[in-house]
Amino acid sequence: MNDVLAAEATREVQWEVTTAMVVVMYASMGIALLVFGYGIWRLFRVWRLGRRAAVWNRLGARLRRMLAAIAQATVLRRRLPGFMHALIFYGWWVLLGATCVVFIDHDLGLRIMQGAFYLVFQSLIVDLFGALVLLGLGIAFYRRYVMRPQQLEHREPADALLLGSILLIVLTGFALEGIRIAATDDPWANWSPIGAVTSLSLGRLANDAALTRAYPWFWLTHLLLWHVLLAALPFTKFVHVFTSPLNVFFSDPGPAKGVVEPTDFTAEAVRLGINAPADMTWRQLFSLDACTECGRCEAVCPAHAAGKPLSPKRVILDLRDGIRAAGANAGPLAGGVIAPEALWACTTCRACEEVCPVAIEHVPLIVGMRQNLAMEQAAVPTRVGEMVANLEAREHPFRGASSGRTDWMEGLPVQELDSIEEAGDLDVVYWIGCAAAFDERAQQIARALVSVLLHAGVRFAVLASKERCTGDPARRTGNEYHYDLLARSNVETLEGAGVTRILTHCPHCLQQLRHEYRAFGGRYEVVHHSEFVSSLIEQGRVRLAPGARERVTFHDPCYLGRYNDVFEAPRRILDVLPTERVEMPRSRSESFCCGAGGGHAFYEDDDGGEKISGIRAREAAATGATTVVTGCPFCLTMLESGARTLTAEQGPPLRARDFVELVADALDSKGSGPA
Amino acid sequence: MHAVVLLKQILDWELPPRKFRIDQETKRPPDGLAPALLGPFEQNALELAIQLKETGVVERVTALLAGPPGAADALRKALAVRCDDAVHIVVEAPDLHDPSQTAELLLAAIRRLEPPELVLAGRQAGDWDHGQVGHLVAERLRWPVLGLVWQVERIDGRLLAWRSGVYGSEQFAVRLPAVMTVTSHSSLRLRMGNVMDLMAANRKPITTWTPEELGLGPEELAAAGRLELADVWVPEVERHCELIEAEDPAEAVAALLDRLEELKLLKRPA
Ligand code: SF4
Ligand code: SF4
Repeated sequence: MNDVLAAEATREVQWEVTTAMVVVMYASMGIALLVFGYGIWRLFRVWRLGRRAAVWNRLGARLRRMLAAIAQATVLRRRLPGFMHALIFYGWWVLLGATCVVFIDHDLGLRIMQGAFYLVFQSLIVDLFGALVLLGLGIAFYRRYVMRPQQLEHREPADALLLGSILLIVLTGFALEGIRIAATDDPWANWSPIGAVTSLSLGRLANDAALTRAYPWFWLTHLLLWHVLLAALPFTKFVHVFTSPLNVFFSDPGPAKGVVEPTDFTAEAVRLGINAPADMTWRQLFSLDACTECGRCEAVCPAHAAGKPLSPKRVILDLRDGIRAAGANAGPLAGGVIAPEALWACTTCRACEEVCPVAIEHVPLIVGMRQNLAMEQAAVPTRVGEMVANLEAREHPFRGASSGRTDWMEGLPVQELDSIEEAGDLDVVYWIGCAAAFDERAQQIARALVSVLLHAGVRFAVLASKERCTGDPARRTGNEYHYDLLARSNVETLEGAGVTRILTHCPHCLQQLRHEYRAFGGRYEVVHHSEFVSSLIEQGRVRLAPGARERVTFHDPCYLGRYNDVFEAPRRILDVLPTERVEMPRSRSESFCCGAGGGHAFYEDDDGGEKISGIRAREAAATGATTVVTGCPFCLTMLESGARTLTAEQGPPLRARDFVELVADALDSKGSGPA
Repeated sequence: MHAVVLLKQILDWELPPRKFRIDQETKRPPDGLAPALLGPFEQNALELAIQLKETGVVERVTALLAGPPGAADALRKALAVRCDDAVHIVVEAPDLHDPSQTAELLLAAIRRLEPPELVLAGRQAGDWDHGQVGHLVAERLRWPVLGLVWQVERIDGRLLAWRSGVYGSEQFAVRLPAVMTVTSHSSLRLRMGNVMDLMAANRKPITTWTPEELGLGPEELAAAGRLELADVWVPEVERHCELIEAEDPAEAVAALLDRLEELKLLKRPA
């Protein structure tokens, strides 16, 4: 073994290179470093325009997220581009490591490039990883110039230059190795398999003397290319090699997701959303420079898929370019740099954030700019204005509703919560939300859930006419002022009634009551009816009668799944019902929005284009399911309207139902009451 | 030029009809039945007033309202869309049964304000639909009145007003001072107002006057009225729902026609 991993094994550095060349190399390195420094300083100037941001809390979670990102966890979720990126990424680090080894050994004079380390790492591993980078580059070229996926940003000639220079760096690296092996009869050549193969082919092309003469020029080219890349880095998307991992560290570590930052309306100078760089936090400005232009966010965006004028990628890149160009004076951002139509098209589904490999948060930027449109510019789509006027006048968003807040419970033995003492005796307070109060279809969800609760002997009460809209549609459309008023009065009501445990069938109410009311002092234990009913079933408190099997598919509501990580509870319920559950291609955290979020339930635009709900209904029908099941009153309405657009060719008629309606249908009436 | 816009709050018009009730004692819907909101035509009048201020036709706008204490909300809304002043004549009931009395109160207040040259009112209050107050105020002021206006512009130094007439839109040149009642129009949807103005509106003072301060104590007010509301009731509507069962749409239409003929609601030619 010892003579295989010979202790004296090493190689020449700067072999046959003249002093003049070394001088040129160091000079070019100096210039490259200066340009690089200048580029970073320019970026830094932009980041400094931002407001303060908290980035040091929950350190453990932040580090975990960053390490997962460095391990390419999110990147690898998309097969081909993920594989491509991982090859280049890991290979690149190894090659960079090799360069550092040379620097330490040669420039610092610490002889580490020797023996087993030299043979195993500096020769074999580096060689193999170099090959992997080549493979990755091959895939990258193929994807960019042959497959040409629409989501990819095309910035020629910069893209070709970047990919091309990496390619040339690796190729010249192999050429250097090959020449050296061929001309010096390297006894350890077999440790560098690619280099050995290169040397053989080079040996056929030219004689040793010619190769030796060419070597220094390859060497210089190799290093100059390196310097070009280094200098170009802060001026191109390549800067993401630094900014991406840092951005993941700085990004919101949870556990609550998508919580909108409250506005301080008592402040001397109230900041009304985002309209200038100074309205953003430095972390938001920084995140713009972390974008790799990969376009994954655009590929999953439901608004973009439905042909709406929104691409989350463009939002990030247009903000970045607009702010880079004009600095502090960039703007107006809301409605200027980013068109109002783009901002209003977003359903706040968070699919873009979920898929972004570098944890960019698009939604807070979009909602921030909506806040400016709504609160400062008073420029909102007509129907958003009407919805807000309705919230202001009637404390619910359903304009023209023909029911009152308590109509849904007519004829049901439902108790109204009157006093704090009563609250103590209850298992839960059932929060109805506006949909089940004012939308006739959604009323059936509340009635179904009540029948399940009564069947299982749950002690519950409702707030009835004391409920107001949680404010979610106001908040998501940027009407934070109206949201603030509603949130405060709801917290006051809940505190006054001594409520601590809340049950809701609406994921939007869930998000508000569970997470977003905390900023207003409201801390409650809040469960979605899927979690609650699932635990009732587990406890054996729900007796189900056998029935005809039905093929169903579950649509994950964005505010239940991506926002609140509830994916399995509704599925567990479906699995004990007489149903055959099939999955849509896009499900769980990759679920495709129904089109209702972000206040869109109240202003779905009739631009004649395809509706998001139609796309989703088609996807559900394609599974062969006859019922698409969900757990959100807004998804239900949307899927129903989407199902109406299906044609006969797209399958048999599709029904949309809340899972609790299926449970209510399956209740064994003979066995009602707790088991 | 100073303009006064007359406002009124009415019971939420989206209250489902089956929930509507009348308290026989007060001859009004009971308190708390539904929120009181700025009436739809008053919203149009307010929007027109603000547009006139924006286009420089008027310099100042005062919002004036006679109503119970809670009606101040409507005045806050007016201030939030940039009315300059708000005046509240505090009366206990949501309105007075005789529009003449309301007109008398508003008139007394107008006479105390900086003299306006234009008074705008909604074409009618969306609750009782009398449609009188604007005209009565004009009569008392001895000013001309133009009803159902939806647009006003100053062109070549003349004030031009567009109104909805029986045969379409009509355009009038108006000599001031004048009263106009405003009708609904897509261009007169009340704006939302920005949050800075909304917050500022909450801090602005609202001038309040009692009827007595305006020289209209109970006796004077009673004397101003000529009408008395003798009775008011919710008409009973009987509804009957019948479902026509059929296999397909063609059969359903045939069955529906048969049934309608049977009920003598329609007669098909032989
Ligand atoms: S939140 Fe959803 S709709 Fe909005 S930009 Fe992201 S993916 Fe598109
Ligand atoms: S925002 Fe994220 S997902 Fe979108 S292009 Fe940039 S890096 Fe890719």
